[in-house]
Amino acid sequence: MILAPIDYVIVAIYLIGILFLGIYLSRYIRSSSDYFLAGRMLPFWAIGMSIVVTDIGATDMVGLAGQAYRYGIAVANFDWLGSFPAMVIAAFVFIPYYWRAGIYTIPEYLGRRFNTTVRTTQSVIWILFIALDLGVIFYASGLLLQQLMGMDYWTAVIMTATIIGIYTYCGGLSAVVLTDVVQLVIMFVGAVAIIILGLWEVGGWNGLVNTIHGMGPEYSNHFNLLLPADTKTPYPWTGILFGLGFVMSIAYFVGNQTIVQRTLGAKSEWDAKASMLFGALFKALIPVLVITPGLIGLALLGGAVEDGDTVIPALIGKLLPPGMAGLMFVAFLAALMSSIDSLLNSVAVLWTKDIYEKFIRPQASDKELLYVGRIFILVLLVFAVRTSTLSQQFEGMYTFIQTLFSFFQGPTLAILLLGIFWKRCAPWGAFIGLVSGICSAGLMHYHKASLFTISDPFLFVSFWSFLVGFVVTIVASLFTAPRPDKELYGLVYGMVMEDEQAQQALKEQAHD
Amino acid sequence: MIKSILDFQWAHALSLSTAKLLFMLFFLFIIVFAWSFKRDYVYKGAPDQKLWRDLRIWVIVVMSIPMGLYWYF
Repeated sequence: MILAPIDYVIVAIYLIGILFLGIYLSRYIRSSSDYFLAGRMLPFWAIGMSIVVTDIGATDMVGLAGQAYRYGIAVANFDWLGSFPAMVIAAFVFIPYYWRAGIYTIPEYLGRRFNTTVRTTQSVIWILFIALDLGVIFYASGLLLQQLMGMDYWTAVIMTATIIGIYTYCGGLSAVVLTDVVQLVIMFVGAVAIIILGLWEVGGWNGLVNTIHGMGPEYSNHFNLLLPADTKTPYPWTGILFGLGFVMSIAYFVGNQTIVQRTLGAKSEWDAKASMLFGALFKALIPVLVITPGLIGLALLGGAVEDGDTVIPALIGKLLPPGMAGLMFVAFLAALMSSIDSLLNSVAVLWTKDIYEKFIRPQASDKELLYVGRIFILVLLVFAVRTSTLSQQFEGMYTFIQTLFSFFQGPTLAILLLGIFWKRCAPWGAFIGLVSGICSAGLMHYHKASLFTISDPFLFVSFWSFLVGFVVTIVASLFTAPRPDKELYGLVYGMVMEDEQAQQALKEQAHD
Repeated sequence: MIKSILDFQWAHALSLSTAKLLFMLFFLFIIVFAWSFKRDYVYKGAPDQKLWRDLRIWVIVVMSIPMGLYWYF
């Protein structure tokens, strides 16, 4: 794609604006709480929009369109069934407890509820995952920008890393969230442009449906959200309901540090809860914006495209007039930057609060923690850029990391649920349950050919590993010592959260 | 035997209409679940008690979206 001068102007305005916003917000950073939790001043609407844009990256914009091209709108389940119920449950059950406890990280909550072993296990898993994932995201995004815009790989990666690094280093979570708001608007504008032009080309929504249905019986399910239980695609309705709806989505919205962290920075408990529900409204639009282009691509390009991920680039080349390329470029940059800045901020707080303050320098001052968090962001950024090309050498690394990470989702949800709802749930019971669930997921994945009929049964694996983690945690808890009631105030559902005794207990736990 | 359990093969006999009904029940359950919380808990931290701040009403709006979508598609 050749950029016209006007496109460069649009890109330059966007980049300078984002940089200016991040640097401007740095004047409000005076403590680690300001930096990691935005001083707990964020309004619900900003958090809600930030959650949505964090959840969708540049590679998702392309990848989901490609999936829609192949499998149809069933892919939308991940944003619809995979968001609405989970965000309501998060808003009403988990977020209030996290917010009132005044924690910085999910592992910190697990540490207070259970013990340091559970906390550290979760923190290390998250730090390793994010560190490796960042390199892969940089690699995939660098290739994408190269393919879409004809940019040199290293120019694309270093440019985005530098800008993200500056505003995330300077402004912390408040910069991340407020730039996310801008980035969400830009992504929406870019995606809407391509949808309007695409639908115009195929004769509107009815024209789109008729064209695809007219392509043959193999496309008859392309407008069905639910696919039969015996489908050979990875999305049978059973997996969607039990794996995604009951386990993976809830685990994602209540146990994912990157998502939850911004709700911890809400200015009130009500804002924290409302942010999830406000975000859910925007989540409804995401499939429309990223999946419709995939369907338009199918109608316009036919079913002969072998790699679904090339549909969006092909569509841009076919539909967008000169001058619009800059807008799409900015939309992709916005999606890319919004994901990376959130990961950076999350891993910095995990490292600083769960590892550095806990094990390396318990007596560190607040100023030192702020400094350490900022430096860690820079170190990680350099590491991610430097290791980004390793993905090229280890083919399938992205899938490997994502698969490995999915092993933790179900068991983590199991101990979070039991931790909040069952005060008898014991620290070592939770640890044994967590490890058992992870091991069971690994075993099921390793033997998937003999255990499952579909080739990629990750939805089923997450459901069963959750169940294993849940049952083992209950059984192991009955044989191990629980924490005394006085240490659980404000951390377990039904135990007083309002009175002075609870608040004092939470403060004492925070200093342990 | 194990394969049929892990793979939810018992559900293969269910029609897509039945599956759709299960999804609807799940969405309805979420609405009922939200309304099981007391008013004080829902408004906790809100600057005032205006009706639009009742998050249980937000849940009805939010959940009506997937209910409509899953009903139609």
